[in-house]
Amino acid sequence: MTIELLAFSGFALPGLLALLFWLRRPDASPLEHSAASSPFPLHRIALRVFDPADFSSAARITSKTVRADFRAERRRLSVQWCQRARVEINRWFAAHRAAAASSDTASLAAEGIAILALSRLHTTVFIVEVVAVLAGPQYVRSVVSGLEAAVALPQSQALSAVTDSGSR
Amino acid sequence: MRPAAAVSAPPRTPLDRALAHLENQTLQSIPSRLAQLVYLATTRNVNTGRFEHFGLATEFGDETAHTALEQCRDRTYQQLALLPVSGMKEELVAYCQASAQDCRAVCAAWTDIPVHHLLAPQNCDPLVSRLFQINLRAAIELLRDDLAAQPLILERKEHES
Repeated sequence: MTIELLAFSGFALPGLLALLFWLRRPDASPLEHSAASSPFPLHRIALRVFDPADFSSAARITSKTVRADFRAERRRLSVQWCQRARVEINRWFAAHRAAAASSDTASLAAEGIAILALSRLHTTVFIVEVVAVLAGPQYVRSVVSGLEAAVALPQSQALSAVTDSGSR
Repeated sequence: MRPAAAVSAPPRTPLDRALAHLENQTLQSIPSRLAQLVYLATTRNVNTGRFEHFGLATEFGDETAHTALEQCRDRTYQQLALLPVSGMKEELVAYCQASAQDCRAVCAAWTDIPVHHLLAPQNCDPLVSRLFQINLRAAIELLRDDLAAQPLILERKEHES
């Protein structure tokens, strides 16, 4: 898995750098701005599940066992969130774009949007891991290319951008 | 030019009025969301699973009182579940102070007793429920560490309140 991640992060680095640059812009988080009105209720949960501040807080726990449990549990929760996001966003996408998209592009778009929702992530490695979890290693390149195009667009157009990249 | 005064529309349905009554009359006097959640959870009759509140039921009927208490409990639970760990810890301290309980005793009891099962809505999103449990556990540990490091400061704060 590590080798795969390293390999993919190699060719996906420009896209990831662009993504990181976008994520660090103060007004760039669709998650924060749209949580209240988001069509994805999971956005609100993502705000918490992926917030690095919680891990900083928990790092101060003196009991090694409790600390390790916290990390393990939250990491497990992150994976569960990704799985749920994939299902729910796919469902949402299918409801809105059923006529226009094939299942492959819908899946890629769902994954792309899920990653957009994770806009509070701050490390390249973690983003690569999330991409791999969401999309599977074989799709990392397509999704990142899609995001590269999507980040320059308003959120409403990001879906199309990711879909287009998936169908290329 | 004077800005238009924000006039909130009066609650329409009996449920809206019951919710407003619950929030403005009862919960407002409980100064912590965690304490509010514990209060709301304890209004559920464990034999029937229904929420009961004499004052609300007298004014709005049993069914409306039940629904208002349940909705309020769900909302409060959701708010707490989505707090950061540090926020959950603050809620825990505020809860101890509001209920005049010794923080150490609360931490010990809440570690041993699965309090979460009493507080969580039955049909809660599993992700939210898990998040609540994980963060509450971390908050309890952080508070326990604080108490071990600064027992006098926290005790003094408790006495002052």
